Amino acid sequence: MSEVLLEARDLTKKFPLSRRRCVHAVGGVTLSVNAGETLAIVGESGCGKSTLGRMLIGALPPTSGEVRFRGHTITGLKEREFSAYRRQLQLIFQDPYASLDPRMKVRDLIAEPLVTHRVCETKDELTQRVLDLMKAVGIPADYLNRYPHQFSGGQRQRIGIARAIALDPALVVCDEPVSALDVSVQNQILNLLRELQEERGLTYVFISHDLSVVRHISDRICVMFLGKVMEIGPTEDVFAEARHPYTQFLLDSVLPPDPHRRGKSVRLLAGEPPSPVDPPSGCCFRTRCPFATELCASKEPTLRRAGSVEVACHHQSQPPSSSD
Amino acid sequence: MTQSTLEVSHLYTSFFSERGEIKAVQDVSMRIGKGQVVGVVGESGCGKSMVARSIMGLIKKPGKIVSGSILLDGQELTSLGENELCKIRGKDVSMVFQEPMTSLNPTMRVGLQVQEVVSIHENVSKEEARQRTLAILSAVGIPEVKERYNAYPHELSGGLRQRVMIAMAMVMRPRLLIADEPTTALDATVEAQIIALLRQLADNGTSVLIISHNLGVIAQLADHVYVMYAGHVVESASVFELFDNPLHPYTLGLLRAVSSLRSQSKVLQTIPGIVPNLAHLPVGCSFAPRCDKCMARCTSTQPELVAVGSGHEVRCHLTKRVDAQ
Amino acid sequence: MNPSENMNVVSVAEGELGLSSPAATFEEPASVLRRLAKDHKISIVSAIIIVLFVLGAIFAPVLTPYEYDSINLSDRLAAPSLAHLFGTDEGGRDILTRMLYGSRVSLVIGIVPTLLSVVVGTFIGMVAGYHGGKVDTVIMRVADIVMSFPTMLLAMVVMYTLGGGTANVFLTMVLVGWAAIARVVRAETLKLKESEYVEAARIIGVRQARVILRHILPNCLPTVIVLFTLEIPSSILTESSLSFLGMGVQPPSASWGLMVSAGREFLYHAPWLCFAPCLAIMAIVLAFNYLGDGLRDVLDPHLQSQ
Repeated sequence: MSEVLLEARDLTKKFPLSRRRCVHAVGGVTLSVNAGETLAIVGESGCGKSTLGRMLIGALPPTSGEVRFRGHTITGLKEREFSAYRRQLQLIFQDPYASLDPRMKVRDLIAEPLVTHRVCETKDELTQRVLDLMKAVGIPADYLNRYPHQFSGGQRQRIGIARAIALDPALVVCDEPVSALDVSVQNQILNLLRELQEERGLTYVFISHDLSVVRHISDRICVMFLGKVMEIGPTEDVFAEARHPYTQFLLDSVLPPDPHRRGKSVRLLAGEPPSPVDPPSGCCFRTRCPFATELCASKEPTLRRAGSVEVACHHQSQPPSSSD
Repeated sequence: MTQSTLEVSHLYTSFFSERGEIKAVQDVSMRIGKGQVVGVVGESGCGKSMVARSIMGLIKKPGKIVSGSILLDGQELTSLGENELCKIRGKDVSMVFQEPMTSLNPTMRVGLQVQEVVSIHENVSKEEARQRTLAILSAVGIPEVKERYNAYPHELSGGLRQRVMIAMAMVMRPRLLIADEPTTALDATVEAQIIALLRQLADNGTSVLIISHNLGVIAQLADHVYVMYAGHVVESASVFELFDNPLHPYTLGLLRAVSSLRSQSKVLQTIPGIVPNLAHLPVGCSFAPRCDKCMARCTSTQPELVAVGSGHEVRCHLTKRVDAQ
Repeated sequence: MNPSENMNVVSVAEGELGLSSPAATFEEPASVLRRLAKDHKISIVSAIIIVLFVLGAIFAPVLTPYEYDSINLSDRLAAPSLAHLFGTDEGGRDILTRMLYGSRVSLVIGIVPTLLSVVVGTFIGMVAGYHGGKVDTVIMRVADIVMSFPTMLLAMVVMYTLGGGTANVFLTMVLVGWAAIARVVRAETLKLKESEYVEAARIIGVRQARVILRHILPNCLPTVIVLFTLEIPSSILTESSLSFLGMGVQPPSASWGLMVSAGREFLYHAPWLCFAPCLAIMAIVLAFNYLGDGLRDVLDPHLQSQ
């Protein structure tokens, strides 16, 4: 087993709405990320995966809990103390249109992290570093003085990636990096991310709602629902046999790009998603779960090991048959 | 052959800007039979949404339909004025957009928004309009309709809002429903539900035009598929024919890109290059710069759409040659 | 969050065609001029009028043979003629000459305090917006109070306590002017603060001051430029009103407001006394307004798509 790079312990994030009410975005997530691996965090919109991703790199302070990077607590540090970790923990944004300042040239956009952390001594060195980064992500060098709006979505995402890897980080959180891109461009970016990981020994936390992308890129997968981890384990094992009812539904709802497999596997999830303002008692998935019992309403299940995976379900010892 | 609800022939739609004419839709012909689901698939900027907007008469200045005809049950739509189009929109043809939040009025109860459609198109009593609204809301699978009728859009989940949009589109029992990326903003589990609902509408006799970039949605829902690239239809075939026997290099590339994602291969198949800018289209075939089978002819002459089998058409110089042999 | 969630249908459709990208906010000055010339011809005319006024003010001594303060009682209240294009006033001074010299005062008072208000207001607005919390609340309450206070009353208080004169006119106008600018810039900053590229800069580790300077300020600038051009006319009008009420520039110096004030006594038998300066005020105010409108349309991506 490789070394643990990043650990989250009982991370919670609440966003206050008014004096009494708040959104429970993330509720008590504990997980670890191993060096060199890709951990995918999947779940539907509002499940807290982006909030969790931002807390992992210290971009958002948790309400409670802590994050440890290489054994050092990075939660609650002052800006100066944190800046050493800042270089190690970076983020790739979902929207390549919104995440680049429209008034900056590519040269300045890619140089910004290098300038901020005073990595380069001379101007020539800086330009050289920028050119190297552009080459690494596949942006032609003669585009140095162009503005973001002169690029397509895929190229902009390459610029975003160059900014994220400029400081040689140890861990990069990729927040839905390909979901805003066209199908034919999406694979280019996924290939690029994989190449960069191999060349630079990067560790990824890959946030996505697209299970086929996740299956391709990740080593381990963490399924979230309403701010809580439902199931976590090696990607192959989870896809081969999902233990948690929610994971099963999620896998079933993938529409296969094959007309011969039409309507076969579609099992529809009943009811409406519960509100993160007023989450259900006990297991947060119970209001939509066909296997829910009284136990599920009274006691919240904790993550328990079942073979190679960990599952938060009271009934996981007798997994409901998925043959129907 | 069944009678067709919609017949689009040789449609050209352009936008006229200071940079010149931008040809968003070029020579697009398509046919939708009664109760048929037709899919249009393509990437951003391929003109698929513009086809939908042309049919709805929603092309705004500086754009306009340059030529071509759009027949809805034999009635020509391109020659109609705005007033006549208003009578048809929402009643005979209706449209569901991608984003259910911005398409609903946030200050109006959803029930009233659906009911408004009825009272605009038909002179009925308030009570009858209300009854019809409640009926359609439950028909599209909204639970506890009486309570939801009085809800505001923000009180509903994304899936329910999209159902309200579909209810609005379906309340007049239109002959044609156009769904422009109806599930793109929704979660996977909700997407499956909406696809099932659209399928059910088609089975009840509504013709559906579904526009999507998602090959999964198209494979699950469409009977016949048009693949668009840079304003042109590059291939059209029945859904089985298209997925089993794709002929255009672009279709092939798309299907390979999607299927390699599902395979064990480490390196994913891609289509090199970027989607072309419609303002600077290459001479000849617009896919030529990205095509791995590009020949000299491809960069000089625009290929024609040729039939290669029953209902299967391809716009590629390669196919033409195969066909001629 | 879906990227297209905030786009309306029109912009999605146009974005697909590359007609207007979300980043179309960026403009080189030359391209701003080109687009103004194309879609807003009236603002080019306005710009030319403004330049003419400025040239007139600078070259006043060259353009006219008369002195602005030389009294010539034999020529009192002369009607417009070839010798005196706009006639003469009660002291026999050439009105055109006084207008040209007066435009120095009016333009300087129109532009300098407005520029000061814009600089002060932008700074305060950005700090309030970016900081939030108590700083924001205090600054904005002060701005509310300033804006609810009648301008003329405040001006009178300043003038009576500190005396008249150009410097005090400046002071009054900045005291009043910053608040409206600060409000708009604060709102803009609040929006930009939440934008992904500001978050991206923070995740890279860029410090607060630099985020404000590098990311917030440049993206506020189009708004600020538009506000600047739209505030100038109201400054010119304020100066005119103050001078009209006798609290601004003191005779024998000339300013347009002062000239209107002096001319009103003779409104019936020598209307040209008021006519010319009124026309000048109207022309410059309209010119700045049209230029501001044009710039707003060209620089604001939200109005562009319509």
